[in-house]
Amino acid sequence: MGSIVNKTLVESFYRQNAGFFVLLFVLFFGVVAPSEQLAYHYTLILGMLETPLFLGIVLFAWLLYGLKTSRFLFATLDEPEANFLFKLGVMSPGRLFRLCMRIQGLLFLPVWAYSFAVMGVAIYRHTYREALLVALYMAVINTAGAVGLRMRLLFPGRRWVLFMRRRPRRRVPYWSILIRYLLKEEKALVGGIKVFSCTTLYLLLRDQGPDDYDLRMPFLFYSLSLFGHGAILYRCRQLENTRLLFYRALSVSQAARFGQYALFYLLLLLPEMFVLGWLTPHPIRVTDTIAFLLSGYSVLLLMNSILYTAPFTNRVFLRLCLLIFGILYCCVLGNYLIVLSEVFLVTATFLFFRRYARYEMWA
Amino acid sequence: MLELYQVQKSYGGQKILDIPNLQLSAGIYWLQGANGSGKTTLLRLLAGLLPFKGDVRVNNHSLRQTPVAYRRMISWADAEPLYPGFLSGDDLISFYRKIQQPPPGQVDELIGHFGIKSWLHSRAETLSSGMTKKLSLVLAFIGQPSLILLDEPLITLDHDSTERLIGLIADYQRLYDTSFFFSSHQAIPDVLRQKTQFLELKELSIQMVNREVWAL
Repeated sequence: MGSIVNKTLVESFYRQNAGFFVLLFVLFFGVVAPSEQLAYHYTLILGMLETPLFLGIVLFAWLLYGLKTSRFLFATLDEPEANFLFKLGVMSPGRLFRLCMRIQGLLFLPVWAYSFAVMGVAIYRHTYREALLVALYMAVINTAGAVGLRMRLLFPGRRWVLFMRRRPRRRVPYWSILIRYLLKEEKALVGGIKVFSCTTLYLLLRDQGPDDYDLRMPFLFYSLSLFGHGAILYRCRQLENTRLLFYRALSVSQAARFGQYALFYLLLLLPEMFVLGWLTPHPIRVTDTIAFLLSGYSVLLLMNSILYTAPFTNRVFLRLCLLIFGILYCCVLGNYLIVLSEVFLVTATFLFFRRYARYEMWA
Repeated sequence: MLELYQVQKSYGGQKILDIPNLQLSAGIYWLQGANGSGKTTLLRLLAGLLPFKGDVRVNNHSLRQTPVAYRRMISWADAEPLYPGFLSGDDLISFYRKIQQPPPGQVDELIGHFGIKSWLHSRAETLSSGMTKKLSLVLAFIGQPSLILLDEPLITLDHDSTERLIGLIADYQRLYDTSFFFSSHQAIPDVLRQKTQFLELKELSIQMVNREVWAL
């Protein structure tokens, strides 16, 4: 029985996350020469023990790892192929708990290894408080994971009652559904685009000086990220055409519908607004910040409205996004960005009011 | 109550519906037709989900000219409803409640009527198709629409829920004078059959059918 559980829950975890562990290994052991490994890690652990903030960050990272293992276990148990594992629920409570602790311990092996090193150094330096803290912390997160797994095996589906029950929301505006969709189901896509967008904006704009002030390159990268936003919009429209179909049949005015999208895209651009706001008025001028934000916002609204004009395939929509991207960049070179943004806003509004009720769904 | 004027609908150049003129007074209508005859398309068209040629009116509100007022008159439930997996029944009911402005107590009555209270907090992704269907029916009955469009309302419902739905249709017609327009391949109980007028979608258009013919 143990080997089946190991194969299903432990080995598959390491197999599935092999890339992640290789990356971690390279980061931890590939950056310094083999002869300096010991000194490097000793210094790293000393830093943890002497700097509470650093130690806090490390413990938080271990917690994230714990959440990752739990997510994996729950997702695996949700698979129909793993249904046989619920048979484990007939074991005696103590035996089942020990099994869950063992699974958790095996999944935590890399963290255990490093935490033992931290505890060892702490004891060697007579900082027993830190050693005890790490030991207790590891025990708590492992036990919590094991308890969660045991509960899941004993009461499949109970998690909703235990953790998800909440008071019904009094208001569920439409924009909030789209935001929740992105946060729940498109985390990687949105996260990737936002990290690219904000990082390039920050790195390319922070060194702008009065003598070499040139926004063409930053805008090129910014418009690339706007182009990437097209994928987010396309996914949102797919959601609307399949699982939010009912919204079109409800008695909501065109203006109110447009308002919902306008708010949604405003919220979607919040990270870029934050970065640009951070860099304004120095090194970026206020007018340029406005131009960046207005152009981004108008492009998103325009792409949104365009998706209502015809049932686009993703390839055709990609071409259209490229066209908008090209126009946008040409206008940067010609310094017509604000004018173009206004044109985009008017076009987006016109297309939406003209086409929203008449477009053909492609789903 | 429901008027269709020169309604035409095509997909990729192929005509699916061609209904010159049709006027239906208030009542319960059961739309029949073979697979692929355009029943779902017609119901979606009436719900304002699809573009088409011509016009549709409910209580003199035109879908083309006054779409918001028209949509206020109607409500729609899909044959196989789908909702975002991360939304709970509570979320969807709050969303509908805000838009449909139901009379006080109506939503709680509907929830009790279909017996869905115990799992309303669950996410849509955890619901079975029967539970999702019940939720979609509750949503369709929120507010006081003049016309409720139900696409295959009986599929995936258990016997008890089917009877509850039939009772609710009768109640809504009696209390609010609500009309119903639904498609179904399943036999409907006799109690509703007596009050129902039968339509058949055939050769792109709708024809009134003698009740006795279907009774046979």
